Amino acid sequence: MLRPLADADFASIAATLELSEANLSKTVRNLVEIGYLATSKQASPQRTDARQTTTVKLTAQGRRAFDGHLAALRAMAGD
Amino acid sequence: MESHLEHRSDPASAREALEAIGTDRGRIGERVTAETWWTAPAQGLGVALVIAAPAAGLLWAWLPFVLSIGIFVGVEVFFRKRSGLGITRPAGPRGLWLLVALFLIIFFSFVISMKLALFGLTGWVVALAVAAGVITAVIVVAYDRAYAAEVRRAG
Repeated sequence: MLRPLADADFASIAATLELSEANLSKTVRNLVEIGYLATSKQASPQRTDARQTTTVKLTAQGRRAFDGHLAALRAMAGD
Repeated sequence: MESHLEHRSDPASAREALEAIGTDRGRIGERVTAETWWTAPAQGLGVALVIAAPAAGLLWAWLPFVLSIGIFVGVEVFFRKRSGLGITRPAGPRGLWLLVALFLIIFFSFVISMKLALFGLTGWVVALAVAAGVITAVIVVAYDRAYAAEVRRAG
């Protein structure tokens, strides 16, 4: 989902992919650990509590990995 | 192990995975087009203000420019807040060409507007500004639809 975007809010990713935030959080954490994603937190005027919104984006390494994966899928599918 | 590898190299599984990616991307497109109802007229208004600026005279021409910048920044900020998406480029060639067309229309409209204002034809400047604003809104609608279609297969 992130490949065509500059970045996306964590909550929007969960809503768009219809995933629970807990599951997504685990996946994002794993992908950050291997260097495919980068996250940043900002205070959100939309929240009344002190929690921040998390923005997620692909790293250059992540983009290369995804592009390779997509190319492999297309080759396998005969596209 | 072998059957797992065979499953992974199965063209049908690859097509299924590609379809799932396309479906997820399609939802991005839905989030974009869900905002078109207000982004298109707002950006049309922003462009109309820029084109109409020469009619305001040297003393007040800055005001429509400032208002226009406020509108474009506002659209960017509110789109981000509502959709949660950061989009900085078109998803494909159709979107890119629509952006090029929009830029050319705005550029030449502004040049014509300045010439009309020099001759004191304020009414024509306003008419041109309204036309440019409407065309901009239409192009923004077309752009969002192109984005929604092209993002499914974007790299």
